[in-house]
Amino acid sequence: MPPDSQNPTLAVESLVTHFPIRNSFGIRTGWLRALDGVTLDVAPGEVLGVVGESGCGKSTFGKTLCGIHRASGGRIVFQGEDATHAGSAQAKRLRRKLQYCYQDPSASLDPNWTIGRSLAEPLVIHTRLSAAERMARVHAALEDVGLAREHLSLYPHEISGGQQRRVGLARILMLQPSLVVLDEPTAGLDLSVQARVLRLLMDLRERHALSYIFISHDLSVVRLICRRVAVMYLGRVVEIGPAEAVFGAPSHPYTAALLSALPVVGGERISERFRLEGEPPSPGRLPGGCRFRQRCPRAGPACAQQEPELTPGGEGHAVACHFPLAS
Amino acid sequence: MTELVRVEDVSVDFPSPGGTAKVLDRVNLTIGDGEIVGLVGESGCGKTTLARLILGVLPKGAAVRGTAISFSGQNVLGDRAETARRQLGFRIGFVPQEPRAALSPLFPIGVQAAEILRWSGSSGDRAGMRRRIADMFARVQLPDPHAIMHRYPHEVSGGQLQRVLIAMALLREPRLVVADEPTTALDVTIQAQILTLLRRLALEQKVAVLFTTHDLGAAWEICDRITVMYAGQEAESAAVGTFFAQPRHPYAGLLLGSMPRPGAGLPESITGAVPNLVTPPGGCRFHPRCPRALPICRAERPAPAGPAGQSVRCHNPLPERDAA
Repeated sequence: MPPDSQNPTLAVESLVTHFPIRNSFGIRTGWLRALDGVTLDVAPGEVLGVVGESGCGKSTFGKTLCGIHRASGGRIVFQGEDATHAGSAQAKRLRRKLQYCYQDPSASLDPNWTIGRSLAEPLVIHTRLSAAERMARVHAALEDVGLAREHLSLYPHEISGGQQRRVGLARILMLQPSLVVLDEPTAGLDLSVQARVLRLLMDLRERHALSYIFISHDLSVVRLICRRVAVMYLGRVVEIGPAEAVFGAPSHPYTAALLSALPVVGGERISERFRLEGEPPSPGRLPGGCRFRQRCPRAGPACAQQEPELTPGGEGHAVACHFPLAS
Repeated sequence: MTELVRVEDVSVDFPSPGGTAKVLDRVNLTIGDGEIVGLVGESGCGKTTLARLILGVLPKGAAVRGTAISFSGQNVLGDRAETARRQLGFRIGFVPQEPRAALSPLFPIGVQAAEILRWSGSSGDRAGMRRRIADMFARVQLPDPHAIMHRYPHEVSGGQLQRVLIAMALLREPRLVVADEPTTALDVTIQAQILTLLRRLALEQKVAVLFTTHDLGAAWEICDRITVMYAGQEAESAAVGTFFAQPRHPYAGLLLGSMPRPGAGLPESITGAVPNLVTPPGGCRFHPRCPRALPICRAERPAPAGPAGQSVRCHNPLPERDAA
């Protein structure tokens, strides 16, 4: 079991987020099951990686946790209190401690506001601090992410992409959260900048005792910085466990396929080992049974009849598969 | 291997609001016949400009100077570059980064593919053209090639659309395909499929490929040789195995060090920032960030040197390690 699983910072139970699919007359013709029953928890101080391909629901998961999307079902328990219903006063109070860091900082910063104003805004909304106290906090956060005070009077377009990420992080720190959902924090960054952002993230975690949910499609980065990993496919967690176990000895055929798609410099070329055919089906038209079965090399008749449940296999490693790979 | 493309000492300037941006600085690049060359580097290093220079599609206002851009020995650099290109009839295919942006949403895929055949002057009846397109679609492993010709781009997934564009690039039987970050917009499993396909087709059809990417892993997967660029200058060019095992240019070494690798700790970052190309540093443009910089690096850009098959432009290259 993961450390301190008795007192998780966050416990998610069968979380479901469905979006209506409407035709051109606005009439609902079906449901897009973006998130379809996710159960997991995050221990204090933990970095949980959530990986999967586009459309697997990993961003929807992060956004539902933070109340950006409304949950259609299930429960989110944050620090022992229910934070499922976005509108409630309790959820609002809890969400100060549960922050979401957007993928694209240039799109989430107001282009007409200076960096300083963007940073102070959460304090204006959530606290009763005086202007001087707000400024002190802004300066502290800025220093934390390694930016100079001169940046406060600049506008988002005047700073580089790497600096914008830093501003995004500084803004998250303003409310002194305990859990931060990082949505693709390194997507689109150059290698050397990515290395710097990763170091900064680990450094901030230590200094502010943060837990992270690290959402990424980049397995090599997740492997480096996450202790535990959840692999998602079409709205479900198909495998979760310690990073060494999931990456070292994957149990789910999808995890194995994902890993075999990852270039390994100095190793065998993927053209010699990669076998996965086809593309994921649309989450609006899911196959019955296991969602991966149409692409799965190990699929049998049982996979079409029943959707496999996430089954623990020891040491916190769980897999949702009728025919898991032997470790 | 005979030489197919040679870019010799070519510089490209762009006008920009802050002054003239010196986007490429006396760059050299060679591509052998049937060779897959990876052009790697971080954003703004000039890899896309170099690819576009070879394609002959630099934006208006670009000033190109230099010794030669030659295809199979024929120089196409100079006042009559355009005519020279046409006379050559040299065929270059192009695979773009965003397949969806490269196709018109208004026409079926088959119509757009046929247009390529028509533009390249191949005569023939409609049925023949359709057969050629369907054949090529089958070679890129598109399921049901005939059906896909009647579909519109929005009806097809990103991975399949990239297959369509690879097929379109190969339709004219080119000698060279320029692929500009062709897998950046794709998921890893789809990227693996596309890279495998691209390498297999290039080997089968004996087409050379210039593959630009910022993803060193992807470059490792499909390239025979890697050229790494920094701020508009090429730093090092070497066979893929040599490059990853023994980079000699300090920038190449640091770039590889910033790559996340399993089992290693957090990757190292490179101190400093990429220079402004309007007022770039003199000499080797990497010198302000280089831990091995010498006084001469500031004044003079080193000439290419190194053992056969490897070309390093550095006054103080990393020492050669003994092969372990």
